[in-house]
Amino acid sequence: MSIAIDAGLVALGCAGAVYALQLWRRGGRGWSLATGLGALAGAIWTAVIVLRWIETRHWPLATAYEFALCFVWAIVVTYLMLEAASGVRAAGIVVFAIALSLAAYARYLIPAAQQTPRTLLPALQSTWFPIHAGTAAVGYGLAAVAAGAALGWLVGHWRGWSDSSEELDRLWRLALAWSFPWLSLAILSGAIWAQTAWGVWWNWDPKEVWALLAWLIYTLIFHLRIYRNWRGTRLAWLTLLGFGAVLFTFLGVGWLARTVGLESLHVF
Amino acid sequence: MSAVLLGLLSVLVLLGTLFPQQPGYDELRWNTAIQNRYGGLAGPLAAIGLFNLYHSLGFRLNLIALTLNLAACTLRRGPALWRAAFARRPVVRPHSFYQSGPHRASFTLAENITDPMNLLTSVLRRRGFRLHAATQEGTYLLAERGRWTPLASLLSHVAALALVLAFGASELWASHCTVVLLPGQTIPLVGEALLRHDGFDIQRDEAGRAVQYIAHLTVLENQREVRRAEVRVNAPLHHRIGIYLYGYGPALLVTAHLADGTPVRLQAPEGISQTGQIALISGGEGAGTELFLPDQNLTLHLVYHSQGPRLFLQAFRPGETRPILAEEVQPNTPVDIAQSGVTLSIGVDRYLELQLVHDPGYPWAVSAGAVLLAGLIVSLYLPQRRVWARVRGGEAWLVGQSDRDAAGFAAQFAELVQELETKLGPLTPPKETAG
Repeated sequence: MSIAIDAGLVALGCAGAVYALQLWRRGGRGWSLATGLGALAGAIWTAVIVLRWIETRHWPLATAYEFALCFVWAIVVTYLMLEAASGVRAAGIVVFAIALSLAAYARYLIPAAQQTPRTLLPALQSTWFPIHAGTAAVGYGLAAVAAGAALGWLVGHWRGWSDSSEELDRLWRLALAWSFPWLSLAILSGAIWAQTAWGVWWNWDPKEVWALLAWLIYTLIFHLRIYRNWRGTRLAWLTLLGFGAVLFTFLGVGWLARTVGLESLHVF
Repeated sequence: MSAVLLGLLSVLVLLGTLFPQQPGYDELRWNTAIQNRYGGLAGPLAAIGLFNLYHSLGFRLNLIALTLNLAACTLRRGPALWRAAFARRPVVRPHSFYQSGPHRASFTLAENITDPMNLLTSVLRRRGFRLHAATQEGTYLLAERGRWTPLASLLSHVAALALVLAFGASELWASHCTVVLLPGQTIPLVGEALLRHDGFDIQRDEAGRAVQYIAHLTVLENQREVRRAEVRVNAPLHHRIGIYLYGYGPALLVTAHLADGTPVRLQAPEGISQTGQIALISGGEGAGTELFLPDQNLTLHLVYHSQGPRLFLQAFRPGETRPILAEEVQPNTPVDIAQSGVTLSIGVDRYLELQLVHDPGYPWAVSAGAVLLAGLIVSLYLPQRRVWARVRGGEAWLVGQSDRDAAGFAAQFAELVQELETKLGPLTPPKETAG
């Protein structure tokens, strides 16, 4: 398992490096190599997820470690799909850097004890568990791609790369349009699951609140884009803020709950 | 305004995670914890509602304002969206239209093309467009896809409104009641129905970790069993209200009789009195629970430790601090209490903590959420797309439009132009004077 993760880390690093090189060279024939390495990373992370599944004998989404693995997988796979759909590759460096950071966090910063496979807790034995956590992972992955495209757009805008800015805007819009329904589905399925498990569909749990906060930011993005015709820099910053909220929902809520003394069902 | 209200709501929900929120129980412990943490600031912070933010007036006012704004926005935009879905668009457009459309192309028809409109029709129909044709100084075509999809935006706004109202209904009318049920005990449920605790099991894996909790419950009506169920976490029992497994803990089953077998009257601290046998909630780990034997004038103090497990029994006469009996006892093993003639037997079982729930807002919330999601998907992935075409004098013009800035339409239009270029003839720059 750890060998597969290390191989996945190397593949992510290599793909990111080639994307960076291509961006620096302003295009050329190396893009296919970048995409090929990205696809290799996607294949390795798919294998990582399958191996973890076999090891735990349940959906590998039950702990922060398992969710991080799926988050990385979702970033890589959704990015490759959107890259194929839009033909835009300029965000690859940022997206693979995000995926690499998360993978390194899962591999090296999550304590080994928490990486040990465990039996599924009774509360997690629900049909809604893979739906809720799985859609959240995909939504988070797409949000990461949108953030990567927005950051790339900002850099392109500052450097005056008008051609790549236009392309990145296309990828950015596409990723936003895909992430929002997935994030919505994650919240909706979470509410149904909470009702099934505890009879309360909304409990103001810190994790729920931060997921709602991220959703509100994305709602605001669509609202401002459609009804206020917001474009460019301001929207890019808002997209980064939305992804910040997504990351905090995953990584920060546990710390916040412990620091502030909040009660949360999602702290593990 | 809606952006401001959404922004304000974001700030408020954020604030709610920066300050601990008051739970609905153990007020004394909560107040002490808040005093210890915030000192003199605890009072002012509580006064402005920061410790109960999601139920504070400010938060509710923001939600009400957002709801009203959403309703106003839906009403204002409704007619335009309705028109966008149902209004007939002109098929014949002036030449200027073909020179200013957001996506446009013109072709010089190849000499061998005899029926260009037929070609255009077949290409657009194959791409899923519905077609309307007209003839007036040339042949015109309007191709539409996703004509009804503007209604999805209206639908998602209405669903968002319904979701907030469902949340309000849950806040106002939902009831959540936690009950503790001792082994064998029956409690009133709804109307004539009663609920009985028939047992509790914990399934464990090889390492001894709990993998499933199963409560065996029976619903009785008019003293008849109408339903038996195994209630688990994630598998509640619904019998007019929802019955959810919330927790469990050790319960002590005390049986007492005299030497001749006469059952003894037993009185729990809550005042419940039974003869012969009684079930008691064991306090927290190592905490004691009391039982009174009024006819023998005896008070029993029982302490249960789950580690072991170990059970300790003390018996006191009223007003005396020195027990007449103090020993560790084995579960289900008879113990004689000296000087009283009472024989006790203490069994260990588990009590259940159940949540009885009635939430009229939940079905509405889920339905509204599902409609909102469906509306979002249609709005974002299936935009309304239109293509106008005109064929006149050896040339064909094409204009594409999509509602909002639907992602991907530019690429789809480019693909269409590419296909038509191979079938109709080469692309030509739009002419400035014609028509």
